[in-house]
Amino acid sequence: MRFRSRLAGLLLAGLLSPLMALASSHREAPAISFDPAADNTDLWAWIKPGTRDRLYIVAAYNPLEEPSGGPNFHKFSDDVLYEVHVVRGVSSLADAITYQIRFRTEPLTRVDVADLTKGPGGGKEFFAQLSGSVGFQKQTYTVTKVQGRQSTVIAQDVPVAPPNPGPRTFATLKALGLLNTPQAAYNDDFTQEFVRPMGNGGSEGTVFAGPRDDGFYVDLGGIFDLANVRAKGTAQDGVAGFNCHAIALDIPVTKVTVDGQLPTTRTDDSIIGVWASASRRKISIQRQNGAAESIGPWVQVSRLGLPLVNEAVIGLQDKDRYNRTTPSTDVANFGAYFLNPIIVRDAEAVGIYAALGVDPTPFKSNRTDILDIIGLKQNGYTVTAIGDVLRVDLTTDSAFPNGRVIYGGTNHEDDVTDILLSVLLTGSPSGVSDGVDSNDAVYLNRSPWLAKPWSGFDQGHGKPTP
Amino acid sequence: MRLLHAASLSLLLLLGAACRSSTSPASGPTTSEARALALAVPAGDGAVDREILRIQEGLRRTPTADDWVLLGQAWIRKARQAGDPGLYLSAEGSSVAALAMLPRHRGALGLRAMVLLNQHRFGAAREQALAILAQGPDDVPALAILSDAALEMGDVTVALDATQRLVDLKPGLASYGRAAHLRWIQGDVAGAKQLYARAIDAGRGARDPEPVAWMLVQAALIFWNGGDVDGALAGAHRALALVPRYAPALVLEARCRLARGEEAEAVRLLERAEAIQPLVETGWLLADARRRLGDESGAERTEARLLQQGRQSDPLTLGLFLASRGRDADAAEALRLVEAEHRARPGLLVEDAYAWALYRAGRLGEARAAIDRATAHGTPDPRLLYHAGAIRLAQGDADTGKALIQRALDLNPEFNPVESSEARALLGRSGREARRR
Repeated sequence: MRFRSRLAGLLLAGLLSPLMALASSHREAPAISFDPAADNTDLWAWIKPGTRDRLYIVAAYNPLEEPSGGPNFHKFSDDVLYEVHVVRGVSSLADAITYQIRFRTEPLTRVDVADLTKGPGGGKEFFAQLSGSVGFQKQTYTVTKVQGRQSTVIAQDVPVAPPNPGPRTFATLKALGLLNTPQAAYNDDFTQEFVRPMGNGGSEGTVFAGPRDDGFYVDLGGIFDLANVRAKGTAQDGVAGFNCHAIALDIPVTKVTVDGQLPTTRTDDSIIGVWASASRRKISIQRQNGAAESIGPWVQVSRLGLPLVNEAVIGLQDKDRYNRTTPSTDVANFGAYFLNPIIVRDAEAVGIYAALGVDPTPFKSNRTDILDIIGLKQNGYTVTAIGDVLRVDLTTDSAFPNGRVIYGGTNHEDDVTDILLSVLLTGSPSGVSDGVDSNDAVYLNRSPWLAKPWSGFDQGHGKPTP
Repeated sequence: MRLLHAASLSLLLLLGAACRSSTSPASGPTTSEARALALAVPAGDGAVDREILRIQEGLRRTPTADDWVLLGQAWIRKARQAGDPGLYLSAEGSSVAALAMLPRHRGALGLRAMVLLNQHRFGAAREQALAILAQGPDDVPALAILSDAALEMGDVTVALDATQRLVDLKPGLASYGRAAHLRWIQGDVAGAKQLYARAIDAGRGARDPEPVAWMLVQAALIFWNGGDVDGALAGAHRALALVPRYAPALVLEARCRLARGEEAEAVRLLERAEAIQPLVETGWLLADARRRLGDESGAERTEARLLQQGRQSDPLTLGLFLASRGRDADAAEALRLVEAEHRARPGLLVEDAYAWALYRAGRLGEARAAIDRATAHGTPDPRLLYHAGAIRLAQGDADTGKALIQRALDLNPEFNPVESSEARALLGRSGREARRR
């Protein structure tokens, strides 16, 4: 009723959108859509504390993934190239090493979908093959390491960890032979069955791919709840019970250094940077003489380095460009966003600075201090190649912004939201908090680190808290 | 709330009819009106409704142009899913609110272009898309809108170019799906299927399932047009599994049922579809289905309704309906309706409707020219081929005419509840052909 009277008021006021041709919206293709399987949602990278001889990377895809309950289970896409990029040194953002991951789903009975005859072949098979959702249709992946001009397959046909069906179904699926494991439940030991060696005898480390608990929360609409910051109110972890799809690498640090040794002192080369991406194929609309699919090169459609950059720093108009470019052009393309963080003006508008009794002026523009912080200047580096990469100092234990750490065996990770809020608003890495300090699940104390995936049957939910 | 929207829609239309002469078609809401529309409470409790509420909450605290645009995009997703074009008002309001803060915001202009497209103001949508691209040549939504608008205006070349650029920049559901459609138009059926498969993969798992449902229906239509009724049904069912009340899937399923002789089921499905999304096309199919079932008075009631509706909001489909019905008394109105559309936006389907209206009016030369334009790209659509064949026959070219009609029937012997029989009848006649029934 409220809406009706308001609308009536608008009509009387002379509102008249040219709605006359309000009719069939039935022919317009969607102009905007999401691509969850190719959507980077999070990235962690840190080195093992103390010995500093292992580099851990967790790249998560598929934001706010609902726990799988059928009819379509979430999965990595066979049509996507997943990449983890490692850059090295202070003056270059070119890939020193690229880990490329390609997935392949065991095909159903092959039928030529171009077959126009009815019955077997044709539409029924087309739509059956499309679904790829028959519970645990087997999917495997291959990891290729690219270093300079050299491309080496370091893991082949590795099984993807399956979705978590819930404890009752787990037992049933085992009985049916669809889950082949001595484990009685989807526990850490079951998960470890999918952590596999890379390279000869594991010389390149280990790899895991599969669904996991989403270890973090990113709210596109209101990333930094500025009102809560001012009021220190009852902020809530809005992503409890969501999953993601994660690729976890556990790599000997000697594999990413220039000289194949562990660094003993800080040099220009003892700093690396990590970022992750997803790409899909270009195609040519006009096929030549109805030949086989004219599939083009890969086009990057998503990437992520530092947490929250895409969500909180890059303006909406530039998100597509951000997603298809690489860190090497970040200063030219997006430098202004980093140097003049919009969130400072927003915070001023909402009254945070007034409440803190602080003048926002120094924080609005020329924020070279932000670039220094993400370049680990405080660790003694002078990085000239600035870009959106998560930098890791190989000579000190990690703690964001030096890497981004999951504290295995706890429900803590680096509180990047607080740190980034503080940095952006005040120039110092602490002092401002969003009030949410812990994950809803306990992290593992080894790869893949993220907790087991929520099951659609007895966990998960529907509503993110506002 | 659904009822409220429908009621407010009728109110608007009535007011529109009264105000048409005195209000410039370019006038839109003021900023405060726009904000009110954008901040309207969505009906429903699905994921998109929660998202709308969340963004609105954030806007009340800290309004930003970006967030107004995100809100508008969410309203469009809701409009598509619910099949309720009235919700585009809220999308338009969001766009106006964003532009009030940042007058050149490309995302907001893109929203405006999407609204124009939905209002079938294709020329204006094209101009808006081009204006956006002048600012940002790589603007992804603008390229999509440009491709769509160009296609509606009959400019396949521009559509191809825009969609190719779109795929080159952002391969995904929106680009692969448009490329698939363009392949279909050009007769590359296998290639179209491959790209629809990619498009569907690229949208898989999204919280908003409607874009994938849309693509599934488009892919299923290719199988339908090829006579694979089982395949088309499989696609329609998959779409309904994703979006349970998805009207385009219900209509396609009804079409399939009708082809199989399951008239009662078809009527039931179409009644549901019409209740959800009352399109002229749906009413037309429902009338045909009722007639098949022997419900002549029901069919006439439905036709009376679609006549009224079409005159207000869908002159193109109404014109094609009148031309297809073939009554002498309707020929003039059919031509008048379609001619106006043709002047504004001579896309391929409009050329087809134009050709058929001209055919009924006895203007065969022009009918032939129009159908030639409609079929110039080799689209294997049985209905187009039937029209092309009938026109040829009327012109005295029996061999080509019959070959075209035969090809239509070979593709799908039940391509249309009424025209399939007409086509068979035309093949049965020797030499003489009738322009009117």
